[in-house]
Amino acid sequence: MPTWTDLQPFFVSGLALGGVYALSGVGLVVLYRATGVVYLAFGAVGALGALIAYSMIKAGAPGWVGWLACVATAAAVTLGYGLVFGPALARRDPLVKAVATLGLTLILFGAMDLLWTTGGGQSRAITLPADNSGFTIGQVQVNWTQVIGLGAGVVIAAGTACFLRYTKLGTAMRAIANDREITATLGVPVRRVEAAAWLGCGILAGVAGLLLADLVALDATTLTFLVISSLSAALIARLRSVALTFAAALLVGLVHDLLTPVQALSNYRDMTPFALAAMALLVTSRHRVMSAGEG
Amino acid sequence: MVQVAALLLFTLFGLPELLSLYYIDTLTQAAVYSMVALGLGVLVGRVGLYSLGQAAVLAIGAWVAARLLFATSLPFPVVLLGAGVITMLLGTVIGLPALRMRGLYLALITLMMAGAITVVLATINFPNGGGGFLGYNGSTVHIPSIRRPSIASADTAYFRYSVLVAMIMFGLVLAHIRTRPGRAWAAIRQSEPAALAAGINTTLYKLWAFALASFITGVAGGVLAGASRYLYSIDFQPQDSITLLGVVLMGGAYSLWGAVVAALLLELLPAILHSWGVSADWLTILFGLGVVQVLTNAPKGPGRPGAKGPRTALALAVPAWRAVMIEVTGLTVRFGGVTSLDGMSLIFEQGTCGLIGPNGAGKTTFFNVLSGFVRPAAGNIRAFGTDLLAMVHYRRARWGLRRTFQTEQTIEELSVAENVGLGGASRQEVLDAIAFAGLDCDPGSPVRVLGAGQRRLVELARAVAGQPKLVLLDEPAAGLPDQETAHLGEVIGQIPVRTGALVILVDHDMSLVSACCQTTAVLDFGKLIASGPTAAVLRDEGVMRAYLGTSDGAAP
Repeated sequence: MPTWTDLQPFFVSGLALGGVYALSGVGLVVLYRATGVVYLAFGAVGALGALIAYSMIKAGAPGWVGWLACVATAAAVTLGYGLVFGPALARRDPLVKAVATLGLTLILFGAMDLLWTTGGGQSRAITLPADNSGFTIGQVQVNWTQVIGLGAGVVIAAGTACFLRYTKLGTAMRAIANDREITATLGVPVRRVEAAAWLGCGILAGVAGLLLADLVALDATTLTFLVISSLSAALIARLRSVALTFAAALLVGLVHDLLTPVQALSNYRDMTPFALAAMALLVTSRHRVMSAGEG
Repeated sequence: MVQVAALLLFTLFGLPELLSLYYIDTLTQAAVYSMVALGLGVLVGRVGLYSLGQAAVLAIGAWVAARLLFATSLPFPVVLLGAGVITMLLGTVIGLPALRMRGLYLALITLMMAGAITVVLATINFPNGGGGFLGYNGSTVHIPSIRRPSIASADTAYFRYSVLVAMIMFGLVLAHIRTRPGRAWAAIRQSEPAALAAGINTTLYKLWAFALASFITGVAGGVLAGASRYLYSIDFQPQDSITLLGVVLMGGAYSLWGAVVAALLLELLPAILHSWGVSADWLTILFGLGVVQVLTNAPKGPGRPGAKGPRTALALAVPAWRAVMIEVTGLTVRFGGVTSLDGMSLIFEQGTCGLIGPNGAGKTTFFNVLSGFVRPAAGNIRAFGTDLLAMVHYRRARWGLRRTFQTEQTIEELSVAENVGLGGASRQEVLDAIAFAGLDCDPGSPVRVLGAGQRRLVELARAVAGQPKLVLLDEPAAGLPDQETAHLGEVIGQIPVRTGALVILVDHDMSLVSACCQTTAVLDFGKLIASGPTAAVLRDEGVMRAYLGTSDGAAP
């Protein structure tokens, strides 16, 4: 068994990863609550943004332009999808809405593979300036990107919780989550509120894509399916609670990274999100009786 | 039937003569994936269960078959059967707890399971002739290939073998669809509660579908093992499950031919494109577009009126005295063949107007037209000088239209004040409205702690908050005791006085209607049969007949 000293660096990286999962998970929860859409293309739009940022920076653009382009791309694609297909699917089952975003995933996936061909052993990377500076706690090196990862998760989760609780737009989102038709009748501009949720989710997807491209890898497949890790945190919170999503995301990130130095389990550490989410779903569903409302 | 047999014979004996080995191999893969698509089609098309993990199930089948082929000298068909049965058992073990979930959660848990299986397979690798339980032999230079049946060791023969196995699987599914399981699945797809109510053991039949799909996919995995001869975990990617669902939806999940189409889309099309030098990524994009297109164009839910029909306007002259607030002309609403409102023309004046009539007369439909839920086939509504029908439904609320529903519709998650202020009223207007409705509770308390009568008052407060122009009350007193109804009547009577709004009240409680309403209109079978001062209308003989059923002479 690894000692505490061995585990320390993984503790730090796990928290950073968990922070980014939290940020993504919160984005998914907010969008689901406002529109009923489980946005499975979350990872793919983040990957697209990160690849565009990579190409721009490689072509000589300043770093911050690339990062902005990453976030803007993810936000634009997400908002565009929401505006074009959101209304058509608004009254459909949440399952159909979720599967439709898999269509977007495939489109983006094909496009990314076409434009940024993988192969030849070449590897791409985005480096943030925060990578190279940092500090040490005890004997553990901590770089600023890791701090940003965790910090962004904390800020986004807390900010979103307050936003939903205290602002008019947040109240409107909670109301739409409860019943779209009635909320519309009461004068809430449903489409505008939904568009706001799509935009917010897209921005978070871009930020998450950028951070994960740095913390994990810049690869379309990897990033596209990292959505599953964030989704697992959101699922553990049953797509409702922002606070629970945050906690679950940290747990997923921590367990994943802390398993790395454990010989017997190291190879299976990528199962962490699946295993935790599957367990959570199975345990929570035990307490549910059949209801007509949600699937 | 003859065509199918001819097509099958041509596939088995004609095609191999015409095609190069490259396309023979491609079609062998297509035969494999037609079985996978068939299994997924049973789940999605027949039962309505979306699985996002079929590629992982296929990988399990391939792994088991490869292991059995290396470890034993069992005949190939027995190995296929074994792969099918073991995959079925594993699929059922996974499916059993998951079946308590439905819809979205079931789909997501299959995605999670598939992800987990992919990780496991990447670690344990596919058997390559090694020893031990896993049969993996590290990185040897000489790896034995997976054996094929002795009668079909050549590629062309193996193609025929694969097609025959696929035929058997299609027959198996056909046998299910034509018998009791097929009917049970159809009932479940339509409505699970209804299927339960009809006495169908829905859990059993859903599990049965899972088991059948897993069995077929397991067999397909076995055929794939023989076709590939060498298996690597990198060949089974999570995105394959998504692509698979995409092609099954595009090919048509409900039809058996859809599985063949899906397999050709998945295997043959990329091979053709490849020979033309076109990247298969274009296909991925195309499949993505296909998924979105199929899902957005699937039949919409009920409640959308059909095309416009001929007008049957029956205009009733109503003397226009005092301020005309709403003018309805020739309003007609049809649901399919049922005419719910038939050329209704009416003028509403200031004050509170009652709208009564037997059940099914069209009262709520009229409200639904006003609030924008239902688009009329014909007719016009001018309200305070504006064309109401041209307004988007949420704008109507901004404009000043308020409404309550037959069943109480407060939003449980929000507090009383948040509920009342949802339409955009200011804090002071919200508090005023709460006081006006006579609600004696803390505005910050959640609605879910209130009783039925108080919730009705919350709805009323919501209806008068801000500056309403038109307030629609749909049976506000339904289910309330007399005492609370009396209080409600007082509040309703005060609304026009206080806000200047026009109130339209639908209710079966005649004492409430006579207490609140200056004028009343009566609907029967979608036609306006009377309107005027309330007392006179309630005494009218035709109204008594239609509404109170004193004679059999309902409207024609």
